[in-house]
Amino acid sequence: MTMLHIITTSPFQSSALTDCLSVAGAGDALLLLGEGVYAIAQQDVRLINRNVFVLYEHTDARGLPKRSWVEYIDYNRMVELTEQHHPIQTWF
Amino acid sequence: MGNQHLLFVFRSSPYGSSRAREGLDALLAAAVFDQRVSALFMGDGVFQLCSEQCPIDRRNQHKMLLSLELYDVDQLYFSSSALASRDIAPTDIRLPGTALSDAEITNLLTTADQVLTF
Repeated sequence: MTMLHIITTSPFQSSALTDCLSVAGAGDALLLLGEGVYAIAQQDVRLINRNVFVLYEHTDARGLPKRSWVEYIDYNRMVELTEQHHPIQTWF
Repeated sequence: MGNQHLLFVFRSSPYGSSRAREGLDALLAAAVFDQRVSALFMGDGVFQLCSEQCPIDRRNQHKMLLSLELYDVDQLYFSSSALASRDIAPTDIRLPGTALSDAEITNLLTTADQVLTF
């Protein structure tokens, strides 16, 4: 089973995303929540070929542009992700 | 809850916030309840490993870490890249543990039943 990494802080303010990407497996899922969604503000080459999930309510709330390499999900899908991956690590 | 492998990941420096201390408290509590416990230090968390800490009005985090051996804590791991980028020599670390590459940390994370970050 692949891991789920949950990132909850902006990459412009915290090392959480960078630290996560330095050790995340290639097939792992990344879920951006809260301030973590600012990671998609730019076309980040480190993210484009990864499994990136974003809670759509959180990007919509912040008015961020839509990215083709992001899968926008709702809370139900988020719960599914937590069931489909193991272990789960939160980075903040 | 059976015997689980709990991996505590320390990513915070020792005195800038209460995270390092709270993480260690949680780790010790888990160890007392007979869980398999290991700790990984990465990012600014490796600053907890500096052996010459003299905090004012705070518990010395390094000395607290030295006591872990008494609690059957399985293993301590340090991120080589975090140590290197902060100019901390692995030979300066007084704690018994293993320095890991990023790829080795990737493998370590997947062996855990639960990952707790502080």
